[in-house]
Amino acid sequence: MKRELPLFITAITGILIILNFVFPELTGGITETLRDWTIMIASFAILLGILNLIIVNLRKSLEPITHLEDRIFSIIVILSLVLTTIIGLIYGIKSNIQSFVVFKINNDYIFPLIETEFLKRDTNIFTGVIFNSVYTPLNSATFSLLAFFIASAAYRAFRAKNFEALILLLSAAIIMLGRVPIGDYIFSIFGIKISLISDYIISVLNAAAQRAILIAIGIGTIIISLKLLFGVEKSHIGKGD
Amino acid sequence: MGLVSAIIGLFRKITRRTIFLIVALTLSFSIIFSNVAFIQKINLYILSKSISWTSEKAYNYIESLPEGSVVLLSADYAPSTKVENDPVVQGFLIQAFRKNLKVIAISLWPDGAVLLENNIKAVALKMNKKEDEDYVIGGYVVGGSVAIEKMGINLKTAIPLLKHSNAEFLKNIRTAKDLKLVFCVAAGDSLQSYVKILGARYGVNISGGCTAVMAAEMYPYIMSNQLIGLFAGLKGACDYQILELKDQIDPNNVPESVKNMFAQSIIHLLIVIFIIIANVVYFYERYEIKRKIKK
Repeated sequence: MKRELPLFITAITGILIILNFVFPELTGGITETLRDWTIMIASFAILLGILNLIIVNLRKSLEPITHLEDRIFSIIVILSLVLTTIIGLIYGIKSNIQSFVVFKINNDYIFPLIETEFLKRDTNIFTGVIFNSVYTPLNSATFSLLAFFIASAAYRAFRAKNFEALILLLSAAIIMLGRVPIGDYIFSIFGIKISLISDYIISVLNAAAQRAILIAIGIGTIIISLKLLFGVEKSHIGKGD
Repeated sequence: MGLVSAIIGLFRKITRRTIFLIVALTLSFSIIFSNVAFIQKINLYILSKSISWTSEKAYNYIESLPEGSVVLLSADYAPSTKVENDPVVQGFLIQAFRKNLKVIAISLWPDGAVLLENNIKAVALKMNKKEDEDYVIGGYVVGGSVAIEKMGINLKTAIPLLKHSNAEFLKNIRTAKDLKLVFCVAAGDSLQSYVKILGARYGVNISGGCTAVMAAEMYPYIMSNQLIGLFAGLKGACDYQILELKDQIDPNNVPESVKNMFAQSIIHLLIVIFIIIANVVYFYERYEIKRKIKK
C-alpha cells in the first residue's frame, strides 16, 4: 500500500492537470486547489531546508572529530542564519531608498581617472547592510571566480585534435570576440565585422541545433510523464517498502 | 629554431596558477582603465554601431506599446548575475516609465525581490513615479512555473500582494491575458517557462533579458517569434542603455554596463590568446614527436 498509494495519487493528479488543459471549465476548481497545494509545499520546503541546514551544522560544530576550521565555519553559518532572520524580522525586507546621493571620488594621487557615483542610499539595515553590502558582494565574488576557471579550462581543453574540435574552438573564439567591441575593432583592420559572423552562428546554426535538442527533450518529457502516470516509472517514490 | 623552442618552452611552463595570476592582473587593470575617457568613447562608438537585432526587436516592441498599457516585470536572478541583469531591468523601467506604462514588478527568486525593489525605487525616484499609481511591487512569488501557470488563470491569486494594492490600473487586470507584455529578466529557466506557459497557452507577449550563457538556448524561441526579443548578457545590457539613453550619454562618463564591457572585452581576448598558445604548443609537440620518429 505504501507504494501503491503514491503511484495512484501521481496518476490521478497528472491526469487531472492534463484534462485541465483540454477542459479548463470542467476541472478548473480542483486543479486550482492542486496548484495551491504545490505552492504551499514549495514554501514548506524552504522551512525544511533551514531545519536541515541547522541540524547538519549543529552536529558538525558539536562533533569532537571535526576539524577546528570546519567547526568554526559551521558556527558562522548558524550565526549568519540566525542574525539575518532576526534582523529581517525586525526591520523587514522592504528597502528604504531615500535619496540620490552623488559622491565623486577624484583622488589625483591614486587613480586620477576614477569617478564613482553612488546613486542611492538605503536606510533599512537588512537590505542596505546585510543584502547590499554583505550578501551581494559575496555572491558576486563567488560567481566571478568562473572567469578564472573558464580561462584555465579553455587553455587545457580547446585543442584542435580533430576536425570537430577545430570547429568547436573556432566557433568559441568567434562568439567570444563577436560579443565584445574589441572583436569588431581588431577585425575592422581586415574589413570583417566579426559581430555579424557571431550573430549568424548564434541565430542560425545554434538555433537549429538547439531546436533539435528542445524537440528531443520535449518528446523525452512526454515519455517520462506517461511512464509516471501509468506507474511504470517508480523512482520518485524511493526504494523502501 | 632556438628562439621558437625557447618560446614554446616558456609556454609549456604555463600552469593553472600562472593563468589565474594573469587573469587577475588583466582584470584589475582593465577595470581601472575602463574609466579612461578615450576607452569609454571607443567602447561606446563600437557598441552603438553593433546593436544586436534581438535587442532592437525587444526595444521597438516596448516602444510601440500604447500609453497606460499594463506590463509585468519579472526579475528572476540573484546578485551573482547583477552586473548583467540589473542594467536590463533599469533600462526596461526607464523606458516603461518614460512611456507611462504601468508596471507590475515581481520576482520568482527570493534574492531577486530585493534587487528588483532597489532598482524600481531608484528609477521611480529619479523619474517621479509613485508606487500604487504607476507601479506595483508584487515581491517574491513562490512556486516557479506553477505560479506562472496560476497567472494565466488569476493574476491576483498568483501574486497575493496585488490584492492589497489599490492601484487604479489593476482594476481591469484579471489574468495574464490582460497584460500587454511580460518582460522577464532571468538567470534561470523562468524565461523559458513564461514562453512555454503564458506565451504558448495563453497567448501573452513575452520578451526579456538573460545572462550570456543562457542566450544560446533562447534563440529557437526568438526565431519562431514565441519570444519577441532578447537582451542577452552584458552586450544586451549595453544595447538597452544605448538604445534608451541615445544622445543623453556623455561619451566621457558612459553607463556602468558600457564601462564593464571593456573588462569583458579584454578577458575574452585573453582567453582567445590562451587558446592560440595552447594550440601552438600542441602542434609543436606533435611536430617534435613526428621528427623523433623519422630519426
